[in-house]
Amino acid sequence: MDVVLSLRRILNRFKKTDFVEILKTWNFINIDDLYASIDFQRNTKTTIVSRITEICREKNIRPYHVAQLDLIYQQKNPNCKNWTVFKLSQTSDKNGKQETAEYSVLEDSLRQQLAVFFRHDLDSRPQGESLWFRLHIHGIGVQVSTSDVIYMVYHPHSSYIITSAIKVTYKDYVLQAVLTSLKCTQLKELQLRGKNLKSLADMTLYQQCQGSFSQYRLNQADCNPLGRKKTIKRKDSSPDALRSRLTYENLQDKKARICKTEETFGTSQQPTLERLTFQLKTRFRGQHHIPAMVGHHSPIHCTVKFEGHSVIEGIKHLGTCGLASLPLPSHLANVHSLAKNTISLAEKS
Amino acid sequence: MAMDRSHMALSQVTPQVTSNLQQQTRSTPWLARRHTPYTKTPKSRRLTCKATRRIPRTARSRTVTSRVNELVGKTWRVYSVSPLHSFTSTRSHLRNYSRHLSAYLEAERHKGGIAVDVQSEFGEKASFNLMHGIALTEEDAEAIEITVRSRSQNGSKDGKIVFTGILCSVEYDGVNIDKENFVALPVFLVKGTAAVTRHVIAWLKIQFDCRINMMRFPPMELAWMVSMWSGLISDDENSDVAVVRFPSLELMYSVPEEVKGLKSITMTVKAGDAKLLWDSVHDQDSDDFTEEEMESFILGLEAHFFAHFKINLAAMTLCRITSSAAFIGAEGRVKILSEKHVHQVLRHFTKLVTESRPLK
Repeated sequence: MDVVLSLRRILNRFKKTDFVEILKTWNFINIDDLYASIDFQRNTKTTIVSRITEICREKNIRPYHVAQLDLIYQQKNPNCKNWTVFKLSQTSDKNGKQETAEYSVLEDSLRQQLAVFFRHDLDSRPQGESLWFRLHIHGIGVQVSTSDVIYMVYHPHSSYIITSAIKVTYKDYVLQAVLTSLKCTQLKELQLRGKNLKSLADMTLYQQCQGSFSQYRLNQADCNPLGRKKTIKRKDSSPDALRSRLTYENLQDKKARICKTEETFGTSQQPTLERLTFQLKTRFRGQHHIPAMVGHHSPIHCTVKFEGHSVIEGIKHLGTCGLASLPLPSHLANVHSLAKNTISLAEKS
Repeated sequence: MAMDRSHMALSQVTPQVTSNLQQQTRSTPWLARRHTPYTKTPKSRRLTCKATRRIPRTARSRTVTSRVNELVGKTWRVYSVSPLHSFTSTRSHLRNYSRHLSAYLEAERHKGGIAVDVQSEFGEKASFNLMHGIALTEEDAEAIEITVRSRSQNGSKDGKIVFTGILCSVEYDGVNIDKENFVALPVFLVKGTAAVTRHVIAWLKIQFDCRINMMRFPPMELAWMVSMWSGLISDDENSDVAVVRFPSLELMYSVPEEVKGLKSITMTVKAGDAKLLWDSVHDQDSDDFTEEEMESFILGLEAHFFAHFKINLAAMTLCRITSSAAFIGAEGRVKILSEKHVHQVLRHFTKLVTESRPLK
C-alpha cells in the first residue's frame, strides 16, 4: 500500500506530455500493453496515473522500481532542489583518486557503510558522466517525508560530491559513510550553494577553465576550416536602414566596454548562481562625502547581496550597460572561477 | 526714418502686449506649478516629535490604556486620506458607522459576481473603535480603528478578523481646515484582504467625501527616512550585546530591466557602524536633519560600495530600506519595529501627506 502511494505521488509530479518517454526509460511496464487501455492524448492526467498505478499493483511493484522512477524524475528536473557542494580530499600517501569507478562497486561500498548507522534504502542511476544516489532513511513512523530522502550526485574520479539538503540529525553520519566508502580522509563543505545543478558541477569541476578560457573547453577557439567565408558583403537595402539617421554618439566607448567584458567573462553563457554574498570588513572609503570619518580606521562591517536568476550574467551586463565602471575588481570579475557563493573581503594589512 | 517709425510702432505695441499677457496670466486657471508635479525637497526635516510627552486631554484619559504597541511588528499598507467631511467620533456615531459599513458589505456580497471575502460564507461585520495613545498634540484627532470580522456559523462567537484599518494623525500641521465640518486623519494603515480593503475604501470615499490614495515612497523619500532614523539607537544601548538585537541598516536597490539576470543588490551595515556614520554626519545639538546631512550620508555609503565593487549604486532605484525604526518598502509597506518609534514614523507620514497636497 505504501509503495503504491509513493508511486502515485511520484507519477503525479510528471507532466502529462512526458509520460510516454518516462515509461519507456523506466522500462518496468511494456508501453505497448498500455496503449490498449490508455489514450495518452485524450485522457486526463488523473485517469492516466490511476490506470498506471493499477497495472503496477497487478505486476507487484517493489520499492526499488519506485526509487528508480523517482531518480528519473529528479534527473529530469534537477533545478528544483537546493544543492550543496562538498570537497573530498585524501592524505598524500595514497596518490591519485579512487581505485575504481565502477558504479556497482561504489554503490555496494556506500550501502555497507550506511548500514552501520541507519536502516535505509539506497538506489543509484547513472546520468552521463555522473552517478546519482537516492538515499531514503527509514524514519520512526510509516510516513515517508521528503526530508528523509537525500539525493547525491557524484562524478567518479573527481573530488567533489553534490548533495541535496540533509537533516541535521543525519548529516554527520551520512557524510562519514560517504567519506569512508570513497576512501578519502577529509570532507569539507564548500561555500557554494545553488539550485542549478549543472552550473554547480561546472563551477567545481571546470574551475580552471571558466571565463575567457571556456572558449577552449567548449571548442570555440578554432573556426571550421571547411566553412564557407562570406567575401562579398551585401548592402543592407531595407527601407529602415536607408532612412535611419540615428547613430550612437559613444560607439567607440560601447565597443571598448564589450571588448573588455568579453576578455574577462568570455562569450559563452556564465554558470547560473541565484545569490552571491560578500562580507566586508574594511575601513570606510566614503571619506570624501563624510569628512568627519577621515580619522577613523576601524573596520565597517557590511554585507552585500546580489540576487537574481543568474547573478554572474547580471554582473557581466552591468559592465556593458554602463552601470559599473570597467575594469571590474578581481573579486567580481573572477567570480566564475572562485566556486564560492559567500566571499569575505578584509583590509589588506 | 523707417527705423524710427518701426521703433515707435514697437513701443506702441509692447505695452499693449505686456498688459495682454498680464491679463492672460491672471485669468488662466492653471497653476504655474503644473509643469513640476513633484513637490520640492525640503531643506531640513524634524527628527523628533515636538510633543514628546503625552498631553493629557481629560481626566478619563489616564485610565485608558494606550494601544500603540498593537501597531508594532505587523506589516501595514499606508494610504493617504484627505480631510473627512462630517465625521464625528462620539460613541453613537461610531456605532452608526459600523452598522452602515456592515450593511454596505452585505449589499456588495449580494450584488453577486465577486464576493467580498471569498472564505466567509456568512458575511462580515464591521466595527469602529477609538484607538488611544496615537494622537499627540491638541490638534490631532483621536485615532479610529476599523475592524471587519467574518461572521462564523454560530452567531455569538466572533469570526476571524479579515481587515484592520487605523486612521490616525500625529502632529498634524497642514493647511487650516474648517474644524466645524472636517476632521483630519491623514494616515490610513491597512492590513487585510484585497477585496475587503477595496470595499472599505470605496465606502469611506462615498460616506465622508474624501480622497484615499495608496502612498508610494519614491527613492528620495526612502533615502530621507533611512538617513534620519539610522541614528535612533541611543548611546547607552550601544553595547555589543544590544547591537545584536537591533536590526542593521539595510538598503535594497532594484537593478534596471536591461541588466538581465540580476534583480537586486542589498547592502547591509551593522547597527553600531551605521550609528557611527550617522554621528559623524549629524550635528548633535540640532533637532533637525538637513538636506546636506542626508546627502552626505547616502553618498558616503554609495562611495564605500563603489570603492569595493566599482558599481554605481546611484544609477539604481532604492526600493526597500530597513533602519532601527522600521522596514519601509517603496510600494507603500511599513513595519514598525519598536514602540518607541511609532510616533516618529507616523509623524513623518503625516508630514509627507500634508506636503503632497497642493497649497491653495
